[in-house]
Amino acid sequence: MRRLLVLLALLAANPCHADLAVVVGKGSPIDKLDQREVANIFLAKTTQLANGNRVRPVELSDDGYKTLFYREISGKTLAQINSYWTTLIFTGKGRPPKSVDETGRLIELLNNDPHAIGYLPLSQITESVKVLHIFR
Amino acid sequence: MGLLLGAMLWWPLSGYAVEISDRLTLNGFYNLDASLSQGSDTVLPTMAVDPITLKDGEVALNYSLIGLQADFSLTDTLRFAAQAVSSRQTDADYAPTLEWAYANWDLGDDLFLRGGLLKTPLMQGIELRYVGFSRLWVRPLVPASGAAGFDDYLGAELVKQGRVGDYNIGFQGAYGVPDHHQDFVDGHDLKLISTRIERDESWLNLALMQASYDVYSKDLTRVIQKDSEMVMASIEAEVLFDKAVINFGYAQSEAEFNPDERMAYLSLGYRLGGLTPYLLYQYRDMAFTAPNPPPGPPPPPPPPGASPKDGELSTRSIALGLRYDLDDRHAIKAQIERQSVHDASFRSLPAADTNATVFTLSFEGVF
Repeated sequence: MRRLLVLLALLAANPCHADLAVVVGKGSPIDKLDQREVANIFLAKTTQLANGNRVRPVELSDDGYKTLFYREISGKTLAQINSYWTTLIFTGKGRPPKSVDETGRLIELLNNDPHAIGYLPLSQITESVKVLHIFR
Repeated sequence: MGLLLGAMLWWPLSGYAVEISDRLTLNGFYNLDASLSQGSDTVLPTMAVDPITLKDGEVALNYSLIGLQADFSLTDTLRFAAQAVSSRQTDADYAPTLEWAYANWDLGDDLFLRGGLLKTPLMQGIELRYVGFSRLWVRPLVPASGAAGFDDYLGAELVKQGRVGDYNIGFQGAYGVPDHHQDFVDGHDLKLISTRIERDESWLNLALMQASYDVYSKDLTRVIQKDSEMVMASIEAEVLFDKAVINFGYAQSEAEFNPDERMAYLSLGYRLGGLTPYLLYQYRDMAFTAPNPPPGPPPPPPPPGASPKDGELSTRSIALGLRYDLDDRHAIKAQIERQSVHDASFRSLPAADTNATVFTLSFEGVF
């Protein structure tokens, strides 16, 4: 909890960040990720971390959050990301992250699946998730 | 065609992918393509196995199609996926075709084993040939029959993904029984290796394939050539410089009995927001040679049309077009193309040169 509050305080002092944090459920064995690992997970370039932990990305269906997130991890617009998914989906070589409509549902997924990993706006983070990376 | 119109009516309401359940997802794509040829009859690549002629002065929807893909995850590491396309097969009919269907096992360490009906990863991303939205231009020159007639295979492949610095690298090795689009070519086995290297938005694909096969007479009662071999290699890339996007590809095959082929394309596009003007040059050359005579007494002559004769068939195409992305799932393209065909593939006929200007307007989308 203290860690979360420190992070939130740091972010409040810097209004230029994207206000998004990469999170997992409390039961996840993952404690830390760097930006490249986050990008590889959410762009379907890997299903497994270097330490052997499997990962399953999930995200909110909100296009606003997606736009911010993918710009942070890849520099691409949402249209470019959707074009990227098109090539993976229709060759059968990959799928975009599972998408859910509500924050509560995403947090529920994170806590029910130790392999699940998502991202949330900082304002919606609760004590039931672990923060792995913050985009600032 | 009804399916296609249904999708057109439905698309504004649809999102990206339809989740039937946590485990089953549906995706789809469609092209509504109207082309007009002026100058002469011409044959544009379509999904049809037998070429469909676009008659001089007529507007046709020959390249229109709709595709549907289902993806079912049985467990965390095992999923099944299949893709089918309904497209024009003859002058009168639209018919569905299974493009690919396979099981995918995630073996860990970004190593995947796929087994089933698979596409050869050769020229112009054969798996994406009919997904118009996935490329800048209207249609590739590669025909439905694919690489030297071998478009897919029944087999298994291992795919390994990895990273070296800023590069993402994928390796693929496969073995299977190839399927030729002509019934009188009976595939034995196919081996292929390919690699894909990506950095940021740019990528490079390299592929090498070897296939062996027997060739039968048209009535399938007599072997014309046994244990024939075909080797094909391709290189393709997409490179981005700021707003400019360059695509190029080259493929070459050497085959016994089947025609040798050389195919290439080069395109240059410039992104201006949602609008991308582009220039595209493509060619496809096919060289026909008579089969080698087997040892012993000469065989009786094959029936008419059963075997290709010495000669060549060359197609050149240069196109200027405009792609407009309506949103991130739908695009409109307008293209004017000059296609030249030199046909010297039949000894009994004099060589013929035809030129046509083809105007195409297409609406393409994914869901």
